[in-house]
Amino acid sequence: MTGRDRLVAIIVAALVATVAAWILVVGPKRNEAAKLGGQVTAAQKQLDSAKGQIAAAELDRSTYARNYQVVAELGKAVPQDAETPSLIYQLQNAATQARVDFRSVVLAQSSSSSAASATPGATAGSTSTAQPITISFQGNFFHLANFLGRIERFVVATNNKVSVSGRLMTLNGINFAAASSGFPHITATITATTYLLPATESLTTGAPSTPSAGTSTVSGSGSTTSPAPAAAITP
Amino acid sequence: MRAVNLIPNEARRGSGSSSRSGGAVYVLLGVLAVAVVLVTVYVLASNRISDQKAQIGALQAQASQAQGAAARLAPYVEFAKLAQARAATIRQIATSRFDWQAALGGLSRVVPANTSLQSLAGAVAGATPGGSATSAAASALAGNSAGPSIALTGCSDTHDDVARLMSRLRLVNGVTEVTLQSSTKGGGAQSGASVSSAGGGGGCPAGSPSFALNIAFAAPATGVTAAAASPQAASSTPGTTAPTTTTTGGTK
Repeated sequence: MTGRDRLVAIIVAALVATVAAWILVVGPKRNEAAKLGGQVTAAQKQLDSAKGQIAAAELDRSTYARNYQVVAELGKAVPQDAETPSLIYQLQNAATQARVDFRSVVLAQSSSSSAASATPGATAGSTSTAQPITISFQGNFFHLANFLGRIERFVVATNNKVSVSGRLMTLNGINFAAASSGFPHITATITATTYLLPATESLTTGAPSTPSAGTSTVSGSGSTTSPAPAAAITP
Repeated sequence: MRAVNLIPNEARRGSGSSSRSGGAVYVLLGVLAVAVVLVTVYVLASNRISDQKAQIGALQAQASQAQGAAARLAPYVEFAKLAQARAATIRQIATSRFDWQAALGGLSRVVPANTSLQSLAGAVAGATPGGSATSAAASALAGNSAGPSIALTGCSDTHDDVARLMSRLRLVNGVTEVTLQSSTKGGGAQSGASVSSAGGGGGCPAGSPSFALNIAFAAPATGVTAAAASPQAASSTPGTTAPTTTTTGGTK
């Protein structure tokens, strides 16, 4: 073997060794680094997502008192149980103000049908149990019409607000006929539906029991916990 | 005379070690350079991996803490959703109700002076208006309506007055259709089957037609009422309380 041949062999061996080292040693290391780069990105996204959740939760936490007030007010419209005394009181009060004579009330068995089954966007926990009711009154036509308006205005919904001053009632049917004393006295029989929360739900289902829990702040350097002022919330 | 090169062999031009080794020195230097590059790349990659592992650990720890904090605040989120859902449900029900007061007010404004009503039965879509108190035919008519409907019976002086009443009823806000069931001029105090079945108010005067008609209203904009109300309306029709229901409350 001449010197030239030896030189060529050495060059070839060096090239082979270089390629082998790249493929077997350096390449996998670089691949691992690239994979870890992806994992870093994923972890960063996970952290950002968690921070976003915290921000949203903090916003909800800041509006907790308002939400509790809303739920409590809505509880007057759709209570947890029948609350018949309250219902009778509200009907009697409305009848007195409308100058009609509250004659009778008959409550039927609650229906398991969901009043909100057709509600877009309503969650599964927002369904209500329907409570049929039949009430009868006596008065003149205009007073009875006024009375119907009053009981429908127990709950007034606008685009942004629901004002509640009594039970939510849907008037399914009305029947006006001359009273036994004759015109202009009219006996009105009204079939209506009131609504109750499902038996599996309480008025403030899921309400945090410790609203004054600390505020957690997560930063790049770690997390800190600062005491939050006691929330002025009374059920 | 022969020339003699007095320069030592190792000092002569073109006769260095590389020449003697045939360029192997350069190859060796090249190999070393490549090795240095490979080692450098390897070390850099290793350092990068170490940094990334540390970064991942830190990020995961922060994410874990953040998720823990979010989990602690989750009840507030759920409660906010609950409040929104209940408000949406109640708003949906409230806005889908039929405005009976407005309907009756409109009705009262268009009934002519020489026309009197004997009975009025209204129902939302799907419910039978009036139950047993009104005529079955009127109930059937109303039951076919897609929206709320009111069945009327009453007396008028002439058939023309009944026609006038129907025309004026069409002026009531929300009325989509006014259908006449009957207009019957009888000879006695109890004239007309539909009127006599209404009960309670006495019949029409002799020679005055008694009428029965149905007023159909447009359905409220958002219609959950009928779906929710129909089962209850059927089971709570006045005077026909189902035996399966339990009753509470009082009656004067």
